[in-house]
Amino acid sequence: MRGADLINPALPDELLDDVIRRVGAGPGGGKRDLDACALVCRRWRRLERASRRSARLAASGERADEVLRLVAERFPALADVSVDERLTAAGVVGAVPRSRRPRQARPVHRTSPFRRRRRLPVASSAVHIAPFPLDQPAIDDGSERSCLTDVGLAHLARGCRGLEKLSLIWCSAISSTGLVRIAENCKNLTSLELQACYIGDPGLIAIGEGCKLLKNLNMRFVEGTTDEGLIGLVKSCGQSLVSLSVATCVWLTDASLSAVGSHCPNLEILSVESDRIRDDGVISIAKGCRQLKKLKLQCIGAGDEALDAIGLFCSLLESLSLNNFERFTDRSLSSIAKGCKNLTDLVLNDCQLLTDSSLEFVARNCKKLAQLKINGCQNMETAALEHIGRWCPGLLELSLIFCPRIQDSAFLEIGRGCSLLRTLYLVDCSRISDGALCHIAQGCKNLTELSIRRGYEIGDKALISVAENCKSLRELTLQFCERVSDAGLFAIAENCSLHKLNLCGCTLITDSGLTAIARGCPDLVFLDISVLRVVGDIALAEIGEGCPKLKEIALSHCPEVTDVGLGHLARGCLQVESCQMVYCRQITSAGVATIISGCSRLKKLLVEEWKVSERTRRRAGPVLSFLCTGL
Amino acid sequence: MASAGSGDEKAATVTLISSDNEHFEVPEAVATLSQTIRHMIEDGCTDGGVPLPNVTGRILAKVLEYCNKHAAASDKDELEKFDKAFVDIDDQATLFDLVMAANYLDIRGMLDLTCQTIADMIKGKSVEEIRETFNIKNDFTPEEEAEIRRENQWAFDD
Repeated sequence: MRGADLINPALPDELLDDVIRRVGAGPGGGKRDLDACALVCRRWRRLERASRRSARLAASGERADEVLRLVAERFPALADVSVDERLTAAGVVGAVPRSRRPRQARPVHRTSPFRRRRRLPVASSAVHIAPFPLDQPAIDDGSERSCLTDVGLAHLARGCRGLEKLSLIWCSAISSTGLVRIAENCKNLTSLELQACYIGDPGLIAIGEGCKLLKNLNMRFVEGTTDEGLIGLVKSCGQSLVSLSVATCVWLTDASLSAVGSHCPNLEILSVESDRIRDDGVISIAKGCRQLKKLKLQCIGAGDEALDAIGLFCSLLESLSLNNFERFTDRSLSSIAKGCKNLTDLVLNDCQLLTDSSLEFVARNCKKLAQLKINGCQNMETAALEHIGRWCPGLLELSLIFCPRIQDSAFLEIGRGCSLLRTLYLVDCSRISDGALCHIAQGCKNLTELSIRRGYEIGDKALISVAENCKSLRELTLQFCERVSDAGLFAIAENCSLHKLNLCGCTLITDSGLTAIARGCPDLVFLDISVLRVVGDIALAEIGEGCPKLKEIALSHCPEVTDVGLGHLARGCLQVESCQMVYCRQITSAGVATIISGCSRLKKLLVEEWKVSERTRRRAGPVLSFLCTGL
Repeated sequence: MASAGSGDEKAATVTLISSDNEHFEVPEAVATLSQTIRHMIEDGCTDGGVPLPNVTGRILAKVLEYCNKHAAASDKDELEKFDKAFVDIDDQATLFDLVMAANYLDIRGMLDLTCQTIADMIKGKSVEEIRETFNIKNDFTPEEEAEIRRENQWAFDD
């Protein structure tokens, strides 16, 4: 490959541009690769800068406004931008003169009487995501650090008129003014996300008037607005809206939902988390949004009448998630079952009043059911699952969380009827034992993902049956399944080529079991061996040798692991990106240094702060995150 | 539709002429994977053959290998295997010639495949490694390079 540069003469700009765009897209590609392309030569820089599509930018730091101006200037083709105050802006070219230092802009249209939300301090155990902060200004005592204001957002709006997706996260100084600028300039906006922001009604109304292509609106913990803002927005651009999500916005009432029902006939996805919504709001939605495909409700104020309406009007519904529904009964699910024949996904969280009858209605009527998740519905018993087993042959995914009444026999029917089952999650289902899993294993041979947490009655017999029957198994989680021992792992290692294995808390496991896994699962990408008291360096050596594709490893609370084991691991597992090793009393700063220097792709390392030498800290910087001991 | 082939039962063919005067007689169903050639056939200007001054015989032969396989519309897995082998080329010059040919002849699938191959050769590499792979000269001054690195820090990883 020695010789002349062939690529630059051969490919004209349009083709090289195509190639560079592909470098930034898809799996394995991304910002780092595009950054590298920009450094290759002048031509590549020109093309890369002109085609960069997405960016995640900081909203904290004194220079945030200036950085946004420069970003918009250098990357004019940005279409997908996320602005996040949890990130801090790095230095810019030259010092910012004092006279141009951004003040906290007092917006013109602010109507809200609420006090400005104080920015919460970043917890010391949070991952440091700023780059090497060489140019960080010193923080004055007592004063809040500056952050992005409407000025910066206006720069972005004017510079990147092709903006399609915008996310504003924890932007405490952005107000309606900023959104008005976006609305004026970015006519192609299709998606807007506001999280923990402080925006007024005029901002939302302006977006509605200016961005007629808006498809997706997502608001979580937005303050400073009222129903009027959202109503104004949907009146203007409701026709184009396909997806709406509103959570933890205390101002939201049925008035907003009524407007959505009236003005958003094309809405397909709706998610509402609110304590003030009542039946009327949901009924308005049902009557107006007949195209609804996906609905998520967390509204303690709504009940059976609301869901009767959904069942009556929303026949295209495919996915339904009901959370904290204290007021609704089996009658609701009967209505849904009768009306929503296309239902494929059902999630029931903390629905205390539901009994087995609910699932009987659904099972008998919704033949396309593929995903079912039941969490904390304590009145559901064995019969519920038997109905599913009998009537839902298309079931692909089943999750049961905190269902202490369900017994092994329920799984006999699941095993018989649901041969296509791919994914099974069982958390805190204390009565389930080996028998249940044997029924599943024998009937559901296509199982690829099995996850059991706190299955105190589950043991090796279950694992052996799964290993013998489910050859497609790729992901196995057995957290705190204290009866599982090496024997189970031997069987799994022999039969299933796992990609992901989590054995956290299965204290009977020893180096032998892990050796078998290391030798039998060369494709392993994720491994969690935390809280395994007797596992030590031998296991790590085997893993280092047998699992070269490993990307994530957790070995916290493993008192027998030493620096030697880490050395073996670092030598063999060169792809490791994430590692957790707190509470490993024999690991020292030498071991930490070994991991840092050996694993060049490391993005995150969780370890005790005092185990990191000064040299390692300098070398590793942003990769380190420290255990917060809460002293 | 103009037909350059002879005989009632033989499928219509078209003759493609490379830059070095090699002639390839190709069924229309295969040749029309190229939108460029398809338009020419539809416009009726393929009598006497279609000259392709931008494509050598060697490259055209490879292009036709691709078109033959994809026109037969086989099994998806089989096509994937074929594509993977097709771009497994040691010689960069050939790869770039194929990109250029795919672009000139407007063969969407082949253009996607070859551009993606080049992109995959770039992903995961450091700047030095990219330059080395393609023998590209670094024409930045140290100040320019420092400026680009600063710019790169303005945005964060996902």
